[in-house]
Amino acid sequence: MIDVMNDVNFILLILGTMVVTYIPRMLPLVVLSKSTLPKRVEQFLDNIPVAILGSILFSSIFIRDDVLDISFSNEYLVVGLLTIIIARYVRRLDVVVLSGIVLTIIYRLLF
Amino acid sequence: MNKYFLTGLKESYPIVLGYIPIGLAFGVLASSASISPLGVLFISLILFAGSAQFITVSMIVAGLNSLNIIATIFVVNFRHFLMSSSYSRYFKNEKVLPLLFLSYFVTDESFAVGINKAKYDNENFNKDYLLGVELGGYLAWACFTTLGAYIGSFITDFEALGLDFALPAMFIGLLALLIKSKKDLLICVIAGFLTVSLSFTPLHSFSIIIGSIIASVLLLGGNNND
Repeated sequence: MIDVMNDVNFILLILGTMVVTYIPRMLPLVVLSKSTLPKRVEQFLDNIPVAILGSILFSSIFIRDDVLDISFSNEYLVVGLLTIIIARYVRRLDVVVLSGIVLTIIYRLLF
Repeated sequence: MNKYFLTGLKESYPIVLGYIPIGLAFGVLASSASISPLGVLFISLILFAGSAQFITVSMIVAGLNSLNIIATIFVVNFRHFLMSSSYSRYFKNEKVLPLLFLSYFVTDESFAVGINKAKYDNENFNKDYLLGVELGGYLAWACFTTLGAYIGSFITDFEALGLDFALPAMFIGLLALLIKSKKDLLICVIAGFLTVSLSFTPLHSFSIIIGSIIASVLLLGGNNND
């Protein structure tokens, strides 16, 4: 049993992962918020949110268990496409999230 | 209590929902790797990351040494520097201390909610709002992962509840709000396809970072309203 109370290596390991994940989370925000950036860089940063959320979404929908799955048996792809259609017309986050969950339940009941 | 903080806390609900199945799953995995519930809580409070925590535990089980694990986690979570960079535009006059604190809790999920507020409801976005969103996710993650370590193995048919799709659905809903033009749509689709393609190359650990940067550079300039 690995217990935080009596395993120094475990504590050091987790503290180590904390340090290396904190630096990229913290440094750009602290440094860039104090600097004046060129207009091109501002435009670039303006594009980043849509780009990164798109990247995360596409990865979670198209890649299942480390394999590219473009088929009807990929439930995330089927439900995801339906949820995108709903989101296109209903611009409310709560409705979209609930629809996604309900569609997932229905898919699993049916297939 | 500060009304911005409370609004943030309230608007973290899709994150909380989505963390239920993943958090419980992490608790189950960690306890099967004989990490105590207290150890699970420790990981969730200190490392506070989704996939990085799963990878950490898998690597502990595989018997890999700590430096190896730490280096891998650095690479896996490095994408947060992009999120941190794009937050910087909205904290131009903020003191350093609150920023040091806020950035500790940056995740994919809180970024998705936070940046939407910053861009399209800016008068209601500030450090207190973001802290509310972030702490909502943080506390839920700590609770559900620890709970998973205790009771997770008793829940067998969790998939039937469909909660594992709450986070992808949240990303869809937030993207729908963020995408205001053809240009935005193009950035999203190009970044998405690049990332998926890169996931099957030796660069897979950097797929999200490279995909996002290339798409953002390709669509620099141009009319945002076409």
